[in-house]
Amino acid sequence: MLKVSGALLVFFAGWGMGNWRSRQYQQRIKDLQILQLIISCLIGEISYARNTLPEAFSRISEKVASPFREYLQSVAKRLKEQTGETFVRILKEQEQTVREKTSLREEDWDLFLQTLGHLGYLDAKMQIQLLESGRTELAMREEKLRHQLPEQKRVWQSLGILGGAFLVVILI
Amino acid sequence: MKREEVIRLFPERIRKILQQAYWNPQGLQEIRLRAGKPLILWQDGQEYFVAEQGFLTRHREQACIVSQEDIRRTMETVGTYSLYAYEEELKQGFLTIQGGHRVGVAGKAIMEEQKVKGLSQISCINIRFAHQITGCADMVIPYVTEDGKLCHTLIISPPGCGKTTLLRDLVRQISDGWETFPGNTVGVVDERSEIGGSYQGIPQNDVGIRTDVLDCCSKAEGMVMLLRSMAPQVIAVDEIGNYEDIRAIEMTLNSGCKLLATVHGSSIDEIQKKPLLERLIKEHVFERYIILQKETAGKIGKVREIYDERGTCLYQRQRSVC
Repeated sequence: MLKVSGALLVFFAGWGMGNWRSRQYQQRIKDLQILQLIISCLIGEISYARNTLPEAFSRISEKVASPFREYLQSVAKRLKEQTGETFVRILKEQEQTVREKTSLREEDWDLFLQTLGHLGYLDAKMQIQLLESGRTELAMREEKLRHQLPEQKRVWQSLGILGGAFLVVILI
Repeated sequence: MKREEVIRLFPERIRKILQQAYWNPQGLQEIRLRAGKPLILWQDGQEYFVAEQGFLTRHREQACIVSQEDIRRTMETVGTYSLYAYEEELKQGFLTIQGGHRVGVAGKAIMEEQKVKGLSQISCINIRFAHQITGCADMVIPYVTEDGKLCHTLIISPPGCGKTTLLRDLVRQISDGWETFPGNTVGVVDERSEIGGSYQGIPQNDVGIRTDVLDCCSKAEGMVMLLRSMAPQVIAVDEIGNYEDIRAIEMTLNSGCKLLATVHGSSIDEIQKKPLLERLIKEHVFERYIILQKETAGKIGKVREIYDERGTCLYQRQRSVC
């Protein structure tokens, strides 16, 4: 009886891990959409309102969910403090505090920070062009992941089940 | 103004130097940065070099030399990493920061169709610190008000004599009112952010509780906008002079608003020689003329004379005839 219970636990743990991994993949797609939303809002803040970056980040933080809200709020706060640090440094330091809370990979953050890192340089038209370019890249990445989603879901769920079954066999 | 407010404007290297140096924030007038040149500070009408070790000196050899990187980082900080937001102001060669302080810039101008599109490669920064002098209009108030109403007033002054400072305090007092004078709704067209010192649209100087400020707007358009939307009792503008300004002034006068304006000059006779203003003076549009004169270098100007619309002297410095 104990063996059966243990085997079932191991099996469901494997299945659960596969499911979790599959959900992470889906969440990554949603997080990429949020990054695109942030960039779209930034384009609006710059092109229409000509708001400064601290003000823009503060306003946009009200439109997005955690942990991105906290990220934008902390960046806005650091910018307003005028600590003398560069903008890029502030972006990267604050990113470290929220990275683990998202499903984004390092290359997603790199692309996002690279897009934002050019902000504040040259005129508004240039800012908007750079942001639009970054947003397009993120959109392409999201599209690619979405295209692969059904297959990835199957793979991770199957791996989870098979992995669980394999462990049960090994342990028994 | 606090020391911290000033120090925060600069990147790390210059911050450390200013933190160590002894300077008085209340007497601080300007800090100038030029690429490859000494860091200069103006305080109480005196120029000082700032040494690398963090002290003020008159000896140029001891001065800290500003690098192009210092200039770039300073612009990044004063512009809150958002120089694009100050594009229109930068076309005029300055931007206004929190506190109403003005950051003047020079460098390579980008021209398009013979107009300045912007500035690239900024190599010189002049931060002028705003110090509002509350009460400087006290002595002119009795002369510019009559029967509880403001007279159309023109302040005539050479550059650097404090006409904007005087105008600002006049606006404040007229807006707030006092026991015998009800506060008036004042509309200010602040073309160069000198009167209100607005930062993100909010005046940093005290311009009174009933004052509406249109920041960074051309005088002619601004006056019309205020008349149409803000129902002002008084309109205040700085440095009138061109044809569009005069037309907008006529519209203001026809609407029943009182006018407070300033103009460059040293006397009514000199102003009368300007074709555009000649007609306004001959038609007795302005009811009061306040003439300022220059004092010693670094000190604000003084009121030299006040005249009414007929040229009768109401006040002369060191002798009041009213």
